[in-house]
Amino acid sequence: MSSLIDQYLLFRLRTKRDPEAFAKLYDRYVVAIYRFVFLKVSSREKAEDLTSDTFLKTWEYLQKDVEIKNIRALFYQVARRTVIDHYRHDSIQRTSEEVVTFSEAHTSSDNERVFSDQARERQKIEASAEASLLLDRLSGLKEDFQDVLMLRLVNGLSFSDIAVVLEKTPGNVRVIYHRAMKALEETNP
Amino acid sequence: MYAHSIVRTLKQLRDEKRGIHPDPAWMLRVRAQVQGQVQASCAQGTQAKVSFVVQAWQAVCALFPTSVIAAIRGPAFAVASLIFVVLGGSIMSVSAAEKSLPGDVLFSVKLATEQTRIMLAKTQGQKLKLKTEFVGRRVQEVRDLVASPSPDQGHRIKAAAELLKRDLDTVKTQLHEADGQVSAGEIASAAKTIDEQSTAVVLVLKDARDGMSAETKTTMTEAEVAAVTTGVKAVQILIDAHDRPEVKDVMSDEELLQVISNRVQGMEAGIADAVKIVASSTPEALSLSATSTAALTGSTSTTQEQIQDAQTSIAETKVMIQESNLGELKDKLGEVAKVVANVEKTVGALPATSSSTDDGVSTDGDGTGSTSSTTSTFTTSTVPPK
Repeated sequence: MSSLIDQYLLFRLRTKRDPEAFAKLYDRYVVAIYRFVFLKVSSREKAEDLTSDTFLKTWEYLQKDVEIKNIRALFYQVARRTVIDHYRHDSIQRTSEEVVTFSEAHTSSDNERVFSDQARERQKIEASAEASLLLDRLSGLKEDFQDVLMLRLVNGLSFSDIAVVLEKTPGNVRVIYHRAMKALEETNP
Repeated sequence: MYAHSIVRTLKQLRDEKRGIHPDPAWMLRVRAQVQGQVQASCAQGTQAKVSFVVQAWQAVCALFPTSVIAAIRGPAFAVASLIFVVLGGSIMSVSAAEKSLPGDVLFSVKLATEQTRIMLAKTQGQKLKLKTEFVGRRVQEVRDLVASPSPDQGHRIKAAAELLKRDLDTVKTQLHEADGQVSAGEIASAAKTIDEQSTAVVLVLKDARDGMSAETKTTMTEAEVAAVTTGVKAVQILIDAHDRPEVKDVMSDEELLQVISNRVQGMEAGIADAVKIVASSTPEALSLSATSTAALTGSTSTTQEQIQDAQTSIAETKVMIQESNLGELKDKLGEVAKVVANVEKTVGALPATSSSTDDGVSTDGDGTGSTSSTTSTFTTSTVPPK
């Protein structure tokens, strides 16, 4: 049903050039994309900027009249590339301090860090200290493992959608997922 | 940490209360920004007008998975092709049948189409109009067959004449049935057309007669008789309706009298031909002919007596025309037509050697010679309408 709504909105956008259709797509996916980006950049401002860029870039891509089969996967795909471009072009190195480290931020004595966006977001989920620890452990995994686990468990994408986002086959994604789960289980807290 | 625990914990990040959520104000701000960008792009872009079919196909592609489309595309194309072939073939067959002539393979399709059209007609007036149109077709078919010699021309003309007679009889019946059911103007218009058609039938059959076999000539004579009686019936209907205002637009009294006059002159010329034929016949032949037709007509009078009766009736009719006595003309015309038809049948039964209008030897459509035994009193006498 969700896919049907997406297809209908995409159809409206393509044939009727209805701006409201894209606005509705934005409403449907802005929270999920923001969450996906935030977990990668760990900064509210950066997450907001990159999320905004994601939607604008997606719109530019849609104007190229390329066949779109799955707009949801496309949003994640663009978001992922935007984050990659962000790190690559702005020469931002993901140092160990910048990586999502909720536990570290939580225990940091640095006032800036304590009141950072990351910390504020972490406070939102402080009821789940377990989640903070888990995200910390997750950040120590390979990039592919992180992506698959986040897309699958945090964002709820199917293996075939994740395959589109990561430009892999669904079978490959399944294998990565099971390896990532095993790696995460084996990671000591 | 177990896998199920990891799954549960990470899924909590989606929780609306405890999960990660952007600032609502930022969301609205970016929404407006994105929407503005999209609107600006849409306003700038001049999109070519997409046809309904393309839009429909895009909608299908958008709403159904590619696998489903791929699965149904083949069968759908096959069904569409089948429909195209069946419908296209039917339309082309019917179209081709419209030009067919008696004896052609598609002629039965043409007749079936005509029957269907008559069945679908809602009113008696529409049926009458259609049937009149079809009589016109039959006349044209005879013309076409005469104009295009072929080995089986004689048989085909005979078949066409039989159909013509059948259609004329049907028109006559329908004229009778329509009287009272259809508006006076409508029926007068149909009657006028039928009168013209019947005259055309006689002229066409006259032209087609030469070179036909005896059997074909007999059929053609019957068709001519049917044409004349149908024409007379049409004129009788015109007489009946002539005093109604709506009929005046179709035909004035003067025109009606002219039509009657033409009709009577045609019958008079036919009787004159019959007189010549009888004059050249032997008494034995006349006796034989009268005996053979007496069984058919129920008349015990001799051929000469029938001719005299016809001449008398025609003379009386001409007086009525001069007096513009339309009231009595209707019945008188019917009477004259009946007498003339009896003469026609009697004279038609005479051996060909006695005919003054026929050389007695005719050639079949297939080129074989045969002795003609039939002639027509109407063939040289019909006066075309003005």
